[in-house]
Amino acid sequence: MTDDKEAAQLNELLDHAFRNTAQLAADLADHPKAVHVRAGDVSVEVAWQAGQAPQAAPTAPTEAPAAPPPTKQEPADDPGVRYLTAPAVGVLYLAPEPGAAPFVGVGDTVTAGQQVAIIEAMKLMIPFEAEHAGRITKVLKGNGEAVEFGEKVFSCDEIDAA
Amino acid sequence: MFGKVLIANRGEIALRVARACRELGVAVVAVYSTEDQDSAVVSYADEAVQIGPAAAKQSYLNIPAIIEAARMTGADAIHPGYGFLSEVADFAEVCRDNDITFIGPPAEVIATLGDKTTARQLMAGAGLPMLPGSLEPLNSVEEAQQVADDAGYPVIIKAATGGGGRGMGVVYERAAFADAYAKTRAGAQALFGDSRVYVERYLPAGRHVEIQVFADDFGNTIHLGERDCTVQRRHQKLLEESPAPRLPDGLAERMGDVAVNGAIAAGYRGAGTFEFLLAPDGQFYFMEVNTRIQVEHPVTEMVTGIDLVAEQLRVASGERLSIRQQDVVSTGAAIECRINAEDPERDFAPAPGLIEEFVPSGGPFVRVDTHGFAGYRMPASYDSLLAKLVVWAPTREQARHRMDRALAEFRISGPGVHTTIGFLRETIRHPAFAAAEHSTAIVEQMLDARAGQPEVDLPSAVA
Repeated sequence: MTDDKEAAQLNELLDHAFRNTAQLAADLADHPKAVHVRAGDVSVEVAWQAGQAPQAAPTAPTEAPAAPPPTKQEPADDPGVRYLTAPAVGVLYLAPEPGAAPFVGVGDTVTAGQQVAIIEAMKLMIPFEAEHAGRITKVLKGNGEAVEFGEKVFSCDEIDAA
Repeated sequence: MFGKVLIANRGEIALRVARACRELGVAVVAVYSTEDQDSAVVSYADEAVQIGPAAAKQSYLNIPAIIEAARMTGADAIHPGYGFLSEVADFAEVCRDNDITFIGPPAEVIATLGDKTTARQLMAGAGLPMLPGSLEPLNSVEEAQQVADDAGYPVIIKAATGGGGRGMGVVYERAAFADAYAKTRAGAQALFGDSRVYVERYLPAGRHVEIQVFADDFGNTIHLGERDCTVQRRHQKLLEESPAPRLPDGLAERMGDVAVNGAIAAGYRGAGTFEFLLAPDGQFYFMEVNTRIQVEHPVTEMVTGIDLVAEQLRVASGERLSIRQQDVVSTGAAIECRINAEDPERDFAPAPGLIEEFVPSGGPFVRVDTHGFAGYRMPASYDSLLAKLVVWAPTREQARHRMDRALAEFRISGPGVHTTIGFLRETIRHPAFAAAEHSTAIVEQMLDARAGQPEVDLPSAVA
C-alpha cells in the first residue's frame, strides 16, 4: 500500500487533474463518452462518441464473468442540476432530532459546508455537509432510509456562489 | 446455512466466494468502492452496496461502512476474503457485537496468532519445531544482539505484527546487526504502528511449505495436506503447488500432525494455514499462522476435491466439517500461477490499465479464477493480482507441461498493461524448478542470470 504522504500527494494531483478535466468537459460542446484521469504522472484521457461507438465485444468463456455490468452512473443530467451525495454508508436523517424541523427543504438555499442531514453509521452521527452551494429542488431520499456512499440525496439548482 | 452473505473484499477472491455462495443457495451482497463500480463481482452479486471512495482506508478497510452495508441488506454473515480486514481481530469482534457472523476464527484467536511473538510462544508450547531465536519481543539492541549471537548468523529480524513479506531484515554478520535492528524497528513502526520485533535464524536456501488446517465447533480439527510456495520474489509468492515435491518419506504427514496440534492449542475454528520453513537437511520449522483463506487455496482444492470456501461457510454457520481426516486423499499434482498486472522488465512495477483483450486459458484440467474481462479497466489503487491459473494432472511433470501450455494460451493486452505470464513460463521451464531442486532464492537467481541477457521469446500457442 502507498504510504500516507504519497497518497496525499496523489490525492492532490488527482484533485487538480479532476478539476481541470471537469473544466475541459464543460468547455466542450459534446458530452464526452469517457474521461480517464490518472494521478501518477498526471494524464487526462477524453473519449468522444464517434458516430457509432465500437461495442467492446465481451469474449465470454463460460468460466469468466460475463459482459461488464451496466455502470451505476446515470446518463448525463440536465446541465445546471447538481446533487448532494451521501458522504457515508448508513441511515439518513433529514432532521437534527426526531420531531424537529428538517435541516433543509425544497427551495432552501445552501452554502458549501452547510449541514444538510445526518448519516448514522454504527451509532456514530456523521454530519452530511453540502459539497457545494445550490438551491434545493428535490429531496430524493426519505428520512430513516438507508443510503450508500455517493448516493444522490438532494438535487439542487446551481446558484451564483454568494 | 446462512441466507445471505456479504463479501467484504474485491477482485478474484470476491468472485470466488460469491460462486461458493451461489452453489450453496446463499444470497450474495457485494460491497465496492467508487473505483470498482464496473467490477465483475458487482454484476455477479444479488445486491451491491457502494461503501466509499477508491482509498481502501475509506472503503474496504472501513468497518462502519461495511457493517452498515450488512445491516441495510440483512446479511447474516461476512466473508472477509484475504487481505483487507481478514486478519483484523477488531473487525471480527465488531461483527460479533452486531450479531453478524464473521467467517473466520474467533477474534481472540486472530489476535493471538496475528501477533508473531504470542504465536511463537503458543506454538513452541504446543511442541511445534522452532528456529533458534527469541520467543518474546526484544527490549533492547543488546538483548537482541545476544539472541542473534546465540541463534547463529545469518538471522532475520521480523516485525511482531508484520505480514505479507514486509517489515523484515536479514543480517549476515554480527557487525551489521545493530544497524539492521534499528532499521527494521523503524520500518515496523511505519508499516504497522508497532515497533516490536523478534529475531530468529535465517535459512537462505530453504523451502516454504505450508499446511492447510480446518476446524469446526464440534472439536474436529483436520489438515488437508501441504502446499509448496517456494517460488517467491521478495517474500511474495508467485507460484504454488501441491503436493510439495521431493519431500522425505512421512515428512508431510508429520507437518500435518503438528499443524493440527497447533490449531487445537490455539482453539482454532475455520480455515487456517500453518507456514513452515523446510531446511535442506529435511528439518522443518514453524513460521506463522494465517487465519484466513489463502490466495493459493485452489491447489489444495484440486488435489483433494474439497471446496474450501464452501467448507468455511458450512463451519461458520455452525455445521460440522463435511470430511474427516481419513476422507482426505490427495490425488495427482496441482500448480497455481499468479498472473499479476506487473512488468517483470521494470522490476515488477504494477502495470494495470484498460484490458482490451482478455482470453483465459481453457482445455482439460485447467481452472482460472479471475475478475478480469475484455473491457475491464484494472484500477491502480489495489493489488496487482489479475488471475490465478490452476492446472491439475496425474503427475507433477504432466502438470508442469499443462501449465506451460495453459500460460501460452492466456492472452491479456491493453495500453500499458503488462503481466507476469512470460516470467511464469520461464519459471515453469527452469531446470531447477523442473527438477524440484529450487529454493526460495530461485527468482533472484533467475533475475541475476537474466541481467544483461536478451529477453527470451517463448513461442506462443497462438501465432
